Amino acid sequence: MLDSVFQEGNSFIHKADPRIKLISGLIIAFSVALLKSIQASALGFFLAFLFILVFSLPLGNVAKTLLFANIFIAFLWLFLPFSLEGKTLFHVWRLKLTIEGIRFAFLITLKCNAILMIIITFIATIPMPTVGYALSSLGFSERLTLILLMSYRYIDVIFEEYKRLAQSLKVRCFKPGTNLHTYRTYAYLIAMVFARSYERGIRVYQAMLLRGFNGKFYSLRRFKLKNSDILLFIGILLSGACLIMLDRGMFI
Amino acid sequence: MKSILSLQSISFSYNGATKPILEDVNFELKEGEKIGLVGPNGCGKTTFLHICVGLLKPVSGKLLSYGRPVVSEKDLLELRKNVGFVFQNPDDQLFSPTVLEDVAFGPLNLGLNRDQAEKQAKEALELVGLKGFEDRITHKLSGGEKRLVSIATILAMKPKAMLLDEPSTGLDPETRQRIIELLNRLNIALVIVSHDWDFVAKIASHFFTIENQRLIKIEKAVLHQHMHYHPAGNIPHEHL
Repeated sequence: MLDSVFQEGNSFIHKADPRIKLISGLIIAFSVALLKSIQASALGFFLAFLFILVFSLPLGNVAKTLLFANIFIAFLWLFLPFSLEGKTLFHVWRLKLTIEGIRFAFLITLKCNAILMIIITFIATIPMPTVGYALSSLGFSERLTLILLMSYRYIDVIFEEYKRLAQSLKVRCFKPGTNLHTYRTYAYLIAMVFARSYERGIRVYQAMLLRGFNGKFYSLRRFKLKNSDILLFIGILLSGACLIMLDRGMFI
Repeated sequence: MKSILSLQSISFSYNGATKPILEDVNFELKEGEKIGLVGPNGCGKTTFLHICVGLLKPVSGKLLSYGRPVVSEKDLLELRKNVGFVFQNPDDQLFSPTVLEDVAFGPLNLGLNRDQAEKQAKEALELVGLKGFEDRITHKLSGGEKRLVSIATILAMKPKAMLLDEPSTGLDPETRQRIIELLNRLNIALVIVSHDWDFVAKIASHFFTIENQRLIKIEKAVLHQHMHYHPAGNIPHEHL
């Protein structure tokens, strides 16, 4: 359920050290987020698109992911062009469509898509368990890492439990409608899923205790830093810096 | 033979419940002993196991490990190191993403370094016949494989005894046979809780049941040429 298609592959980025990928992804995503000019944002967008192409990530799936996110951005296009003060292009009823508004909506669209493609390249290509181990080896909070790993592990189990309950409704001819019976049944269903996952949580914790768990999480995973990882990191650091410098007009 | 675990006149009832689950239970597990605990659902078998590993605190009575009373958190840790527990549902036991990580979880908690832990984990996997499963994703295994991995997670800690709660539920005949052979091959003490008499009879040499909140020893099936489970099986009788 949580495994993305982007994890499969054998490109440079798939083989790179997950810790470097996490940090690099974060740096470049933040750099893009800080941009204010259309030119630099467009460059960021093309850079991100370049990542997708170079590391041969499945374009169809990337497009699907982006399309989904752009549905939300489409709502911004409904409001933003009308809500910023500036040079008016034309009036729609009593609303003013401004160049500044369009520019701003365009900027957000560019940056949003760029950041998404960066996340797909750098983070969605790491299997979820590895994200956990990488975070923990970067010194990220043990507890949060544990929560991440446990959610990954049990979300499927809980979903299966939900499906079983939903099936038991179906085989007893439950048809949802707009009535109290439906609402009550759904409430029971959700409550039952919660109750069961709570009880499962207790059992899992007991099982962990019995194997000597004392709050600290040890991992077998060892990451090895390769030269290519360091190069990747430096490359990303430089591109991030260039984007920001271009944005602030330091090259002109 | 030293006794790994002993329960002395233990009684237990859940908070607020007036009716006790267990009353005046005396039990001893010696090194290498293979014990079967059979009985119907809800008779207190799982409660008994939970008391044995200190998950539940008895209302009265004493829990001893190697003759020493289990009192402090440290005693509990020592007890759990010696006495492993395999849960009824492997999904409760296997929480790590990969098989190797999960099997190494116990040894790592015991303070072994990564290499030792990995070595013990791999040995345990080989012992249960799952060599090569190291990098498999735990929740994508089949039911039988999950069961074997959950046994391996305990064996990797090299316990003196292993308690198994309903280890035969939901298994196909082949995996069932595999687990019977595995448990017979082990030279540690075992307590197998089940209502599946056939399964227990193939492994254990001593048998108990819980009746009216009390733990009762059942004489071994010597009186039976064919083994099956029914009440009063220890009284000489004939089958038509």
